[in-house]
Amino acid sequence: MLWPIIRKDWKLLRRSVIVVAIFNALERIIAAGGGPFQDFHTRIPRILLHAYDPAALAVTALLMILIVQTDPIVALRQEWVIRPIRRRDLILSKILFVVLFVQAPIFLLEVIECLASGFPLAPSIAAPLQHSVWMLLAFDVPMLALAAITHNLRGAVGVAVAYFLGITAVVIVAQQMRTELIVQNDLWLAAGARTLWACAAGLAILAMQYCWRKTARARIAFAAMVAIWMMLELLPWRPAFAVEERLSPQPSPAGRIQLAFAPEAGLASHPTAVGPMRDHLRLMVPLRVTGLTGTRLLIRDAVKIEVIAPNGERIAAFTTNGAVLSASNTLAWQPAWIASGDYDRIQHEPVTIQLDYSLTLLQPSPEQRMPAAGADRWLPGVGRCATRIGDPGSVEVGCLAPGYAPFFTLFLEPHDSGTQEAGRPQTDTYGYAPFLARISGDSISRFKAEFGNVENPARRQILFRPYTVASHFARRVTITDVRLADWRLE
Amino acid sequence: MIDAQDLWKTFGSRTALRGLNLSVPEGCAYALIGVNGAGKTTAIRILMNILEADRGRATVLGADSRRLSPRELSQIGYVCQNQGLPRSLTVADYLEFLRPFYPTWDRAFESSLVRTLRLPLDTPIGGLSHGMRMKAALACALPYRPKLLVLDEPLSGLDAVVRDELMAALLDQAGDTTILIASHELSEIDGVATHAGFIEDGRMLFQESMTDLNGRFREVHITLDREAAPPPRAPGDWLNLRTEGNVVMFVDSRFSEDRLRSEIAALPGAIRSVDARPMSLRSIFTALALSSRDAAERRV
Repeated sequence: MLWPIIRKDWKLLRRSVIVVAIFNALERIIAAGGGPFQDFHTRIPRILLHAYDPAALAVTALLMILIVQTDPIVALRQEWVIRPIRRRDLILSKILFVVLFVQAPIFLLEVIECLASGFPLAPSIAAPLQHSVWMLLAFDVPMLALAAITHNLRGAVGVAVAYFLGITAVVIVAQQMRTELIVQNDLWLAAGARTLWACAAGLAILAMQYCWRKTARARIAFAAMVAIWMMLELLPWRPAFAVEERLSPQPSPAGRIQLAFAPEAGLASHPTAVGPMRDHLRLMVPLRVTGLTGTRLLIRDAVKIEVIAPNGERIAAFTTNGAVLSASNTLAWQPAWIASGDYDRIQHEPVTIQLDYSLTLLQPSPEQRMPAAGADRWLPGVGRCATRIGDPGSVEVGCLAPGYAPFFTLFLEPHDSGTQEAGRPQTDTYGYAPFLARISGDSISRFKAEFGNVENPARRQILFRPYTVASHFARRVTITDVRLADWRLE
Repeated sequence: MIDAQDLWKTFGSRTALRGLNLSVPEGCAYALIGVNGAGKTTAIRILMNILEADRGRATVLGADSRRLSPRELSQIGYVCQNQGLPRSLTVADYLEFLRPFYPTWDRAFESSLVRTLRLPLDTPIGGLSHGMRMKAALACALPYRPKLLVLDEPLSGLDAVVRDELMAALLDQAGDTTILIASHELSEIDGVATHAGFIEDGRMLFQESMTDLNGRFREVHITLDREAAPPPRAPGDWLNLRTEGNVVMFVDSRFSEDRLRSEIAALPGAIRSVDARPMSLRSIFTALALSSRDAAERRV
């Protein structure tokens, strides 16, 4: 008995469904209009572009609240309660309605966008499908749960805003307290766990509400769901790394790779006067990477740094993620921010510095080439890429890729020659994830690069070296008996 | 058909039901009466599983009211004053939605109801007047010929013509269907109700058949040969005792001719005449309500 409910909801909500579809379609048109070089985007005020994604998401969320509240649970006017409608059918019909009339239009729009972007059929379906499934699990189901515990649209919006402000406040406080919250954002395992948790807890809350209508308990469960969802940001590092390592496509090549402290490269530190890390001292920790051969690349997804004082006190140090190492450049400089107060207190004491890394080893796929000017083609492993001559003396490269951002490096070559002139990694994220963990926006990753001071660009070509993930692994570097004062202040 | 035992329900600091007992026999038309806030709607919502009682239990069609399955619900019709019918749907759309859920849905009866109640099928429910919405709710509750029809103030706020139309539709249904109706429009349900229950302050004051009720309530006027004065110790069954000139008036809530004769013998003065008239449900309700109010005022 799902279809009568779905048909009734369609009659009630068709206008809202169409409005949301139009909203999402406009977003797709804006996104697709940019082309490989995202030119369209430069003609639209940046604030509008930035506001549109959350606005589309908010409109979609409103529709999902309406879908649940056409048969309200937290109300005395529960017409469905006195009808011979199975609770299970009601939940399933709501979820199916979301799939058919919210997610399916988004999926179709993204398929059209992918095809219009010049992608082959298979990735044009696979990437939007994965994005839609992710959105359903990470966003739609929790929104349905939120709608099920609130009286009406206003109540649901109020609760959503309150939670949003609460989460934002916690993140700000966490940032102020220099917790690990920021550095763990890149763990795809945490993102996956959060999504699975949000979906499972959302389904449990829906069942709790539809089957038993225990609103007070469901509201407590929802608050607990959000709290645990946030706690999942703080997954223990080593177990999380270990799981990611086990899920690597080829764990063995990473076995030879080691990281070691390389003081002979020099120790330097810099004070920071502005920004969120003001009143911190940035220590540059030199590390030598061994075992990285050929054209393989190593990405530092995440790192946790602790300074352990002689009395056992552990002082968290901040850092950034995303460095890339290659076989030709195996010296890595690991920045670590230490609060000035902590530094002053222990700078002359022998301390231990412990660095826990989550790393991804990339191996190259077959290289591809295309002319540096006026080319536009599909490159397997990269996406649809185009080249053009930009400002005098520059070559612009723009790429669109279906799904999660592929990792590749770009080289500008002289025509008819194998000599590489320049190379650099081009991607919108350094963190590795085996899926597109994104709820807003679309299922396309976009990249732009520019080579300046290029002579005779029409006679040159661009070399793309795409990479695939070989292994994901963890390493710990322990530096004992060093003094922070050994880092020369520059 | 319905049996509720010791139902309690509290909303914040207000206790709406205080150990309510209710028994609706099969085949009867049960009028649940009481002043505003007495607990009628709360009781009905608990019976329909819209609310959950804090204490006590109720069975409807033999099933626990908290676990009414589609099998029982397909045999229950429910109409209330503020029913949450989907406002954006037309009457026709909503009837179409409901049909598949009721195996016994009678299309011919549905059409007949729509004709009789003159329902505009293509108008969104939200665009209907209150009276038309109530008719629509009734048209959605009757076509499957429910074994039990629960009506919570279905006539409230309706004009006389609509009330008559609704009552006519209900009367057509009476006989096969057990009806539980909470209403202030007592004159309308007087001819329909076979049983009545009077709720006061969340408790059932009494519930009995209309035959018994009509038998035991009398509006008594006693004319004396002198200026009447209220007796110093009137029997407790005399409600709303008052005097007017040489007439003593009261409602006897346990009427029997012999008993009345012996009780009025204590009145000061000679009795010229005794008039004990049967009462309508509305008069009985009014007498009980006034009596309760007076008792409450005396307590204060």
